[in-house]
Amino acid sequence: MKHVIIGNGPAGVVAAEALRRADPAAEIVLVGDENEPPYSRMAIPYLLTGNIGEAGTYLRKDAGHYEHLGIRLVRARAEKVDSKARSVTLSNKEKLPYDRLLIATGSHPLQPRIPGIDLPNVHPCWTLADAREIAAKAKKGARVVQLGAGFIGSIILQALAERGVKLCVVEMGDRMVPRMMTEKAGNLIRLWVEEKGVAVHVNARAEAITSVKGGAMQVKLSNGQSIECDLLISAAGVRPNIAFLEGSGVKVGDGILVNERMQTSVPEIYAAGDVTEATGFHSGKPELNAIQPNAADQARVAAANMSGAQTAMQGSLAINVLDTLGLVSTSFGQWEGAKGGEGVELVDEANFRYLSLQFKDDVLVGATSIGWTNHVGALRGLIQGRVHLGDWKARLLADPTQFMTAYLGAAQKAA
Amino acid sequence: MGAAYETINFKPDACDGCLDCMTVCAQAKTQSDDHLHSRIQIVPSGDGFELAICRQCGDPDCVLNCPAAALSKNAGSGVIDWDKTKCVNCLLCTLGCAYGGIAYDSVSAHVIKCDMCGGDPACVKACVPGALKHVKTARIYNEVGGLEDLFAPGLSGCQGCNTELIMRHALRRIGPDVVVATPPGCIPGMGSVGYNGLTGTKVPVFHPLLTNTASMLAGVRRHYKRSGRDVMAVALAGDGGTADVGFQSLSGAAERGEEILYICVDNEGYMNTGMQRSGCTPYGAWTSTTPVGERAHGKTQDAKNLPLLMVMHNCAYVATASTAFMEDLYDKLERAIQAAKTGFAYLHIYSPCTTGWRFPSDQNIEVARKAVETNFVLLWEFSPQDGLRLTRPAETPLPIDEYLEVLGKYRHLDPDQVAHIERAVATNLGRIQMLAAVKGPTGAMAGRA
Repeated sequence: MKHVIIGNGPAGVVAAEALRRADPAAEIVLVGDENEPPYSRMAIPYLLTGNIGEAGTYLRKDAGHYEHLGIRLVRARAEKVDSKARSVTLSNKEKLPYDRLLIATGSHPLQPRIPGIDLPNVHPCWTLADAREIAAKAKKGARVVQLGAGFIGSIILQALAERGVKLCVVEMGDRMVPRMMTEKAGNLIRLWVEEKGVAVHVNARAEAITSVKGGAMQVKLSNGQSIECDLLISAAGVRPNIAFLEGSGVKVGDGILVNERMQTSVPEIYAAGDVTEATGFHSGKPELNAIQPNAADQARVAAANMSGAQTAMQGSLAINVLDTLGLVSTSFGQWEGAKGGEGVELVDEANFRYLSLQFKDDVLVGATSIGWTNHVGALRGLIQGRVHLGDWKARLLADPTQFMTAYLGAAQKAA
Repeated sequence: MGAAYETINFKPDACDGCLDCMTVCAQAKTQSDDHLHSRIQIVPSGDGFELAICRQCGDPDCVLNCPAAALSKNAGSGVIDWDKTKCVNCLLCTLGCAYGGIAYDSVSAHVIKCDMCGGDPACVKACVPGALKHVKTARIYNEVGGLEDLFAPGLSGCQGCNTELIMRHALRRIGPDVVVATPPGCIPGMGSVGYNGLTGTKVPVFHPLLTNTASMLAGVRRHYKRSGRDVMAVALAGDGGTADVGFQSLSGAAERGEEILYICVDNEGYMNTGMQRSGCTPYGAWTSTTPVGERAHGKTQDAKNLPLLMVMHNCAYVATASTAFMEDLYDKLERAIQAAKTGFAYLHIYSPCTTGWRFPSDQNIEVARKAVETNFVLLWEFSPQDGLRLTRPAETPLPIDEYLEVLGKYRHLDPDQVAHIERAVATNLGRIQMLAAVKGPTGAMAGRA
């Protein structure tokens, strides 16, 4: 069996390892287009703070890991998939034949359509190459504007603040991390970062970036203000890398459409990670869900099915954790609440603590937490296990901090 | 073959909620008394307590999701190791673990998880009520799990058969340099001697008569010894073939000190031929020849204490064992194998019989355990040098009812019969304790000249 995996991020690497475990004799080729060993974008903020070197971002750290597993690494960009001939054409003109193909090409940063976004000191913070540019330019005292305070934006904050830059964040939404936090929670995080000396503009968009002398830039905001900066970081979200699939017959929406076995519309072709638009855990409909735990789970399921097992994903669940300048927050599933459901919100603004639990019937469907971060995995356990809480629901509505107890009481005892 | 690992076991019923485990954990790991720093969390749940701790999963979600390879399953210890130098503080692991096994500690500013204290967990030592237990049975699996199973797969034992377990484990430990005798009984009955010229074992096996197992083995061993080959002679025989029909040759071989390992698999009757009584069938038990009806109420005599009879033969080694206590069983197998190099070794292994005793086939090990925990069966070993020694304390047994009530063969017992069994158990314990009190080489039991 010949397996080709396009994309060497977490999904690609996890899938390659899982394929090897399932089939010691299979041929496994892992294609990546960046000029680096497989690495983790999650680690880039840590690289920027100087806590680790570049090697610290590598997904696997033992020397010879891929050789030892008989995984061939190919450094090239996949340009075309011919699903009839079952081959992938690479940028180096090599044609890779496959029996099973996994597309794990991930996503790319969305470039907002703003005049001046192509200026030399405007960077996304996505690749190691981006990180090198940012490290060179985000010197102590440098004026930095960051567009976007979503998930990625909020984890970069910490790195930038630690580098001692003068930071200003611009977010279109009415709060920080609007797509993963409730209004109260997003505002709490905003208060926190403002207290730490970061300027935050919400309900604001950048309308134009113009060059001023010495490489500096002027950013004109929709709220009428203008900010001068030396470096502009664009963190406006990501989109799946699917352009190369044109003509391949693989059905795509915003991302690659897959069934519960991570199989695309072409039976020999599978997909995993950010690139997919997989069935949502709660909605039951295709959703983009570009998070690492999802990528790892999907990669495992795809690999199992590619090696002949029959394994299904139970739907992708949005789960996120953020460390924003020392304030740890998490969000799970339908944090915004379910239709016809009930919820409870506990707010302790003075201590920057917040907890919201959302129920549908007697099942937890979503949660947001700030400060209460011990054993948050239990929230995922309750949601993903669709645990019937019974009497525990009333107790959680009265005191949501008892979620670990509820998990142990309702799920572990039943098991 | 994968490895098995030591683990921390929690018995919620025994936990009194003192939280000493959390205190010592916080002290050991962060030199603080604050329970927030404890890697083990005892959480009130309903009327009792539940445990949140790293399960050291075999297929850990935290490791799968770690983007920096900071978490890894240690192939040697089984512990999921956390490497501070690699961790990028992304906290994804804390989301992945629904067991509360890895958590962010805001004071230490990094994630914390149980590391089993390097194999000597502080929490277990601090647990006075005994709710936490450090289970090390994985050792056996790691030591013998890779050894070849010398029986063919697909033997036709009854569902849930304990005897098959005994045979496979024993031969695995004994190894391939062996000739096995399996006299009539369940062991050949389930196919170990084979059919149509093929054996059910991967080693030489033969099918003696019920009467001559030990004498034939004596000859086999002597033959190999004379030809300069160290080949073990091993019997795998039932209690009928050992205690009754085969006893004469057994007694003779033991008395002569033949170099044999004789394993008696005691299922308390002739189960293979239709569940007739044997000399090892206990008082009160139903068998097809000790029926239960208007006048008959099961067996009217007590079982003979066969292993004790073998002690009186002054064998090089005698022991009783149970598959519910595998570490003990393996220790005894080891000593019996050594003893059989120079003398007669006798192992008496209790084998609850799902079919003949009438209990659910998934309860076999539980029944074996209850037999020991009620002192119905005593685990001990004997050698002429060291005398007799109980290998499992028998001071605080469970009530005998807990054993009798799970077995169909005792369902008819009236209170007088239960009282009789209680007396028999007490008498047996008294005898064994008396012998155990005699220390070291005693006059009557000193090694043969």
